Order: sequence, then structure tokens, then C-alpha cells
Amino acid sequence: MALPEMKVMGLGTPGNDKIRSFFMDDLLTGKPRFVGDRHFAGQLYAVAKHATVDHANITKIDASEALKVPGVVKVLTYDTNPEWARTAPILYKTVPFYGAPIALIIATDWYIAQRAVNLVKVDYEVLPAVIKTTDVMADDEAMTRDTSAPLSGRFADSNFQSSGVTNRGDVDAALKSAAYTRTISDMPWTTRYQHQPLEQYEALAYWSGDEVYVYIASQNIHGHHRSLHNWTGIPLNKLHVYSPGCGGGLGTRLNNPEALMAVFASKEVDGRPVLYKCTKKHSMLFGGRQFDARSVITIGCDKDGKLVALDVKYVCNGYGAGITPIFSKTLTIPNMRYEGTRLYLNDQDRCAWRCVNDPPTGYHFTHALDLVAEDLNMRPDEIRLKNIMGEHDVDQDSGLPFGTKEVNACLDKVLQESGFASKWHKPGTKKLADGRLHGIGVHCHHDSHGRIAGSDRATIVLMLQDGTAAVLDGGSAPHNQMTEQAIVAAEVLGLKIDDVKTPVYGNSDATLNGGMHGGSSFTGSTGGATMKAAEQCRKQVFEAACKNATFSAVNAKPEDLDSKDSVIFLKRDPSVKATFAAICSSALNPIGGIGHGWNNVDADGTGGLQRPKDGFEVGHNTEMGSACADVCEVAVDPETGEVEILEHWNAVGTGRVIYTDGVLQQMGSGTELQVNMALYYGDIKDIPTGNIIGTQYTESQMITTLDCNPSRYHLYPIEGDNHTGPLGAHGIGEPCVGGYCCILSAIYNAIGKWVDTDHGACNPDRVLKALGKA
Amino acid sequence: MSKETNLVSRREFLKDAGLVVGGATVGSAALLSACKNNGKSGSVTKYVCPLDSKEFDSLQALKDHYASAHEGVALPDFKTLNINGVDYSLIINDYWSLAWVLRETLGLYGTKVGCDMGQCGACTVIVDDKPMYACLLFACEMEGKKIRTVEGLADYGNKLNKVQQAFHDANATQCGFCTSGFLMAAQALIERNSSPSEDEVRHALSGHLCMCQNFKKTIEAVVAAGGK
Ligand code: FES
Ligand code: FES
Repeated sequence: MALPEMKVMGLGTPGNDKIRSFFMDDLLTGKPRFVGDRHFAGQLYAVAKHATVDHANITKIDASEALKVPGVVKVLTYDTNPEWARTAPILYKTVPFYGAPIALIIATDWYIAQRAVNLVKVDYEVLPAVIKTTDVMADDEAMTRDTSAPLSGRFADSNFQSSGVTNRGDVDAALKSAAYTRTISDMPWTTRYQHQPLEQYEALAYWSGDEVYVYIASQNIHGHHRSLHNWTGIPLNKLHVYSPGCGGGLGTRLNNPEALMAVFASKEVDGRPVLYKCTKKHSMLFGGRQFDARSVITIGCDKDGKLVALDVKYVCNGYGAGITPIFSKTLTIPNMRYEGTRLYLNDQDRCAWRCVNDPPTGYHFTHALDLVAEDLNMRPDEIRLKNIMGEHDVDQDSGLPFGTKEVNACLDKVLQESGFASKWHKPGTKKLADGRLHGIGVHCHHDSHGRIAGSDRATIVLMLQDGTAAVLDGGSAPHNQMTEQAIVAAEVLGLKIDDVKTPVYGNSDATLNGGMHGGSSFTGSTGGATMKAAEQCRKQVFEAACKNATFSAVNAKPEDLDSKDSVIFLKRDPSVKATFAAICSSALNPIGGIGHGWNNVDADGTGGLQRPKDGFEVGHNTEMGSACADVCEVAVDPETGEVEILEHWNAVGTGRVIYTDGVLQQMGSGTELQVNMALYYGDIKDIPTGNIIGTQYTESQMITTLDCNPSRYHLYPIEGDNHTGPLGAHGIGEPCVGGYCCILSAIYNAIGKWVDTDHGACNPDRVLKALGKA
Repeated sequence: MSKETNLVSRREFLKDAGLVVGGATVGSAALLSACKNNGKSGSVTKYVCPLDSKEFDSLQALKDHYASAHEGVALPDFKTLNINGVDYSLIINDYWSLAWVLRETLGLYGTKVGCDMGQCGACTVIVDDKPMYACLLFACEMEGKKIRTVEGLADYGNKLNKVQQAFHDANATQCGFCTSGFLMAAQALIERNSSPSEDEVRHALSGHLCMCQNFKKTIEAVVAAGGK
């Protein structure tokens, strides 16, 4: 598909790859000040005491010894302000999970507060705990509910949080008549993804009269503004929320209780500034992600591997995340039934999970599909190629066209670049010269990222008198997405990228709502707002230009003008020109625009398809998402169980690339995360016993540079036109993460056994166990 | 509204000042007032209690406060730390880490604290030419050592040095929280091995975590900085 000519955007646009993050040089010189880098006169520090049981009533808290420590100012508990504690997750009276905060120690320095934590004595009345999904399943194989199961305590009468069902065609009939069927229920428990930022969870707040000022690491500054208001009742205009940055961990910065902790603590010390910091140990417990996910999958197909039916039951303990079966929009499956259930366990709270539950379901399905291919004497790539949805297929449930769909192109690319067909072999049959076992695996999906949603988002673009533009996009943190917004504004206005700035972010007082700050939705949705705001500015600049002597001398009308590289010129005679600076400095009125975000279908009818597609007209509603495919080649040492990634190919459907280097960064990160998820992440909790086994970074085995060999990653952005959004672009970062199952498939291909990942990573011990050596 | 420390002013001051006295905890008021007074000299007008942040106009007033408010607790001695080539005389509690003093006493917030327990490398500074975790070092034991932070790499952020420029060229930051630590480790590596191989870079940076998973570009940047 031919893309419209672009001056700034697009993978092939000269100079795009030279654009760097707008915040790069500040970050390289240590200038940015994150929340913990803020300091106000008279500031105090707060540290929480965390529960050491899974489920209990607190019968007594004795803080008398802690209060004797010089420097300790106050100790707060649930009883200090039951009203706030009831409406918000601050300090618990009934402990719902190990690590829940139960007291807050406020002191003059961080070390004093930490020391005093140990002196706070707590008496518990321990209650039955639900720590794994099977605790609430009457029949794990059939995944049916046990109504007599013990309760987690989150709700009085149920452990069930929600469920999602997809139903298409007649699954039972199709399975009955299928040439081949297989049910897989004994698959490995999923690995988990630990979405842990490097920055400690922390927040700073102070009161000035009845006005409250809060600093938090947020990816949704206006969302936090509103939720703090909802929790505390503080009027919105008296609540000032700032996010000076996020030290990684987008995905966990949506519903941060630490802001409330700081506001609460500051109120109790007469408004003095309080910095609440969560220790790393408790950040790991409190913000960690460890999913207990089970599936039973039945696949039916014809003898050539053409899928005719899929029946999936899936149970997990994921909170706040949707249950979207990624295979639903990846392969053509005429009959499908999917039942996903989320449970409340006595386990740490989680906010939205990166990849929205896709990795466990994706892993389980990849595993099942590879087994079916093996039964049918097919290669894993063959069964996928036979069933992959094409660019022009419509969604199998809604019948809507896809805004973009490059999953087949991604799969083709990685298969071709890796030489998959010639390298694949029967599982467990190929040795390398050094005695290690060789394996190769593939995975592809079209998942729920890359959506465009949010007409409530808004961006302000202002033209300054020096001819530069200021983009106030309502974003929360100086991440790549804000650089993207600047590129969009430069594109629309015809400015050089250096003439666009993003001076204000993370400020509930000075920006409009930019929505949730994550690549997947910010790019398309807030990008649409930036585009509209910049268009308004462009119109005003051209109107002002027509009043300027240069253009009034030739009777120019706004429609006669164009702009490029920060110069406005007459289309019919480009030698008649003026700089933005000349026009803006002499303009009689201020120049600025406000744009609202782009929804799939906006109330004003401007959403939906922006370009016709496959017979669907402009304005028609669409399905959206992002595509990704991966191939990984590994060597497994049968003596030690060590796995080495030999090569890794990753392709992502990018839509139009706005910020080339940002896209490559995200793809590289996604690929490294795959390695982390597949091979390294340790467990925080041992799910079968409920024991806390690793709350430190080193215990959790994060990857380092030793585990990443840059010359072995091959990244392929697959550019295409997203017909839904105005920009032809969408977010691309996270789809890569779910591709981690290609590494596990490659290990299967190497050793001929599926490693029981035992709800953790595929570490050497587990590989040896699969090989019968442990 | 509370008054926040002005970091830029403070850094400007620190760059020029030879001596700071009594700037314990964020003795920001002390440091700022000194900055505003003359910007060049090392004199200060406030002494800050390291236990409760109360400010005093004289050392004697601080001592008197200590004796009455913190009975039985000895006021720590002054220690002289050499940071980015400048000597600072400071009151340091013996349990304060170097990272704490750099950040909370001197306002050098470029040194980040990710774990505060020697696991992530975010707090890395160069001590006598070796990269070290500042969260694991007691500040009071740092007398006589030469300490370098990210602010000292190139003129307090007014320009980029070779390693920083290589990070810029490779776009080797995402959120940037880990970046100072990586930069300091990379700087120490380049100083002892001017042209490290990719494997040498991977080993030298292996004590650092990046939770944005930006290793590929970081490794490429450091290799490029050495020119191999
Ligand atoms: S903060 Fe020092 S190693 Fe993590
Ligand atoms: S760039 Fe975010 S932690 Fe490394």
C-alpha cells in the first residue's frame, strides 16, 4: 500500500532515524528530578509496615517502641482515619495478601523510619487463605468452580472476580465431525511477567491550607487526579497532581496507592511534606506480577491441519486485565468457544498487566498448536501458515474490518529471515558440534495492543513568537510518546523537529487530559488530538501570514500557502516565503489550537476508517490491534540445563512509524523481555505453598547485559497503513512481549520435552528435570 | 505553598563553592542562601540538624539544640568529602549512605536509588577510578577518596562527554532512571580500557539492571564510545 508523502514520519523518511528522545540529554546529565529527587523544606519520610501473613484480621498494633526512636514523628494505622482507609487501599485492617501495608511510620529520615518499622508489633487472627487457582476449582481438569472453596476476603461471598466468554459457530458439532481432535490439559503452568520499575514506588505530598500538592510517578496524571479526588473527596481544583517522570514500569503506574499514602500521611502531620517510599522488597511484593494461569484446550482440525474448532477454558488470578485470547484474531478458526475466568486470591494486587493476559494464553495455545502439528506430521510454521488470517480478512466475531493487520507479513518475514523451514527438525534430534542440543521455535499473534481510543483526550499546541511550537499533550512522563507527539506536530505544521518543544507534562493544573500514557493508545489517540490542535495552529498561522506584507503583496489566501522546514511559502511560487518566526512575531492575535483525541468512531463521525479498506467506507467502525511474530534458535546444554539464545528474529506490525528509533527501542526491549520471561524471572511466591521465596532483584533473577547479545537480535518493523487512525500509526511496544513462547517452543524442539515451567521461568533446574536428570 | 529547593541554583553554587559547612539533610535552605549571597564563596548562613532538619544560624545554636532535643545523641563530626573535584565539609550521620549524602545533603540527584541494597546499580558513582554502588558505602568512610557523579562527567551537564555523546547517538535511554549508573560504569570502563570489545562491555555493565530492558542500545553505545 502506498503511503502518502510525509515530511517527518515514516520509516523511510530521511532524517527520521536521527530524531532522538527530547529528554535524552537531560537524562544523560542527571538533570531530571523524579519523585524521590524532590525535596521540600521540613520534609518527612514515610515507610510502611507490611503484613507477614496471607489473610488475617489485625487484632492489635503496638507502636509504642517505635515512637521512642529519636526522629520518629508519628505511626499511622487503619484506625487513624478509617474513612479514607475504607475507601482506598491505604492501610488494611483485614489483611488480604502477604505484604499488604498495615502501618505507616513517619520520621525525619528514611533510615530512621525503616528502623522503626521493625519495632511496630502486630497481633493477627489468621484466616484461611486462597493462594492458588486450584484452591477454588472443584475439578482442575474440567476447571469447574467449587462453591465451598475458602474465600480470599476481597468479597464476602465469592472468589470470582469476572469472566469473559467468546462463542462463535458450533464448537461441539465441529469437534464431533473433525478428522482430528486433541485435548491438552496437562500443559505447563505459565511463566509470569514481573512488571517492576527500577524507581522505587514513592509519592510526595504536602498540604497548604486545604490545597494539596502531590508528586507521583504516573502514566495517567489526570486519571490520578480524579481517582485521588474520588478517594479523598478533596475538590479537584484544590488537588494538584504532578508526575515529574516514571522510572520504568509503565503498566504499573495506573492505580498507585502510594499517592494516597503520602496525602494521608501529610495530613496527619499538619500538612508537612511527606515522601512515602516503598522499599524495594515491598515494591516487589506489592507491585510484582506473578500469574497462576491454567488452561484446558481442545483443538479440532482436518487431516491437513486446517483448524475447524477450538474450545478453551482458562483460569487465572489476574486482576484488572481483560481476557483476550490472542489466537482469536490470529488464526482462522470458524468455530470457537472461549471461557476465561479471573479469580481473587490472597495475593498481591495487580493493576493492568502488560499484554493483558495474552502471554499465558498465548503460551498455552502455542504449546497446544505445536503438539497438534507434531501429531499431524507438520512443522510448526506449516500449521500456522495454513491457518493465519490475511490482511483482508474481517474479524471472525464482529465482522468488522481490521484497521491494520500485518500478522501474516510478520510471520512471513521472521520465517524467511531465519530460514526456519530448513533449520527445523524433529524434536530432540539435532546436536551441535559442541554436544549441545539445537532447537528452533516460532510464535505469532495479533493482540489487543495498538488500539486507538479516547475522544476525551486533548492536546494544546501553542505557537510562540519565535516561530516555534509548544506541544502540551497532557502526557504524564517524558517518555518516547511525547517525542512522537512533537513529530506529529512538526509534520502537520511544516516545522523542523528542532522547532517543536514539549515543555509541560505530568501536570494536572497546566494540561488537558492526555489520557493513559502508554504507547499503544497514546500514539494513535492523543496523536490524533495533537494532529487536530496543530492543524488549527497551521490554519491560524496561514491566516496571519496572509496579513503579512510578504503574502498580502501577492494577494495570497490561506489555501494558497504551504509550509516545510519552518518556512511558509506560496504554493504557486515558492520564492515568496517567510519564516514561522517572522509571521508569529508579527501576528496580531495569539496562535494556538486544542484538539481532542481520536476514537474508533467519534461522536462527530470523524473516527472509524480514515481510508477505505476492502469495500468498507470511510467512517466504518473497525477492529484494532497489533501484530507480532518471532522465531528463536537456541542451544541447550543437556548436562547443565543452560539455554543459550543463538539468534532471535522479531517482526512487529508498526502501522506508520512516527519515531523510528523509538520503535526500534521498543522492539529491542520487547525481545529482551521475552528472554527474561522465558528463561530468568524467578518467583516472588511459591504458589503451591504460599511461601515468599524471593523479594529481591537478585533472587528474582533479572537479566543483565550478560544475558543480552545485541548482535543476535534481528528486528524488523513491518510498516503498513493503519486505516483506522488519522496518522496511519499505532502503539507497537508491547505486542513483542507475548512472543516469549517461541523461546519455550525452541527448547522443546531442542530436547523433545516440554519443560514444566512450574509457574516460573524455564531455568536450568527445570530443563534438567524435563530431561530426567534432576 | 512549600518552597522547593532550586536544584539548578544549588548546582551552580556547588560548582563554584569550595566549602560547605553544616549542610546536613537537605540543608537546602543553607545551600541556597549561600548561593544567593555570593555564588562563589563557601560561607553558609544556616546549620541544619541532621536528625530533625531544624535550621540554626550558628554551629553553637545547633549544638545547643542537639543537647536539648536529642539528649544522649552525639552531634556527628564534620567530614570532608571530595566530590567531582570539590571538597565539601559536611555533618554526616554515621548510618547515612554515600548515595543519601550525595542526594539529600548535596542535591546531586543525578545519582539514583533503585533498590538501596546493592542489586541494581542505579546509584553507581566512581570512587578512586572504580565504579561502586553508592547505596552500599557509608558516607562517613569516604574521606580521602575522590568521588565522581554523573553531574561531574562534563561540566555539570552543560555539555556531553564522549560516553554521554555515544549514549545520545545510540538513543540509549528510555525512562533514564538507570542511565546515570550505566554511564558511570561505562565511564570507568573506558578510562581503563579505551576500546572495549562487546563482550568486555557486557561484562562491565553486568552489575546494572534496566527495567525498561534497554540493554541492546546501551551496549552498542559503550562499544561505540570506545570506537571498537
Ligand atoms: S540503589 Fe544502589 S545498587 Fe540499587
Ligand atoms: S531506561 Fe528505564 S530502567 Fe533503564
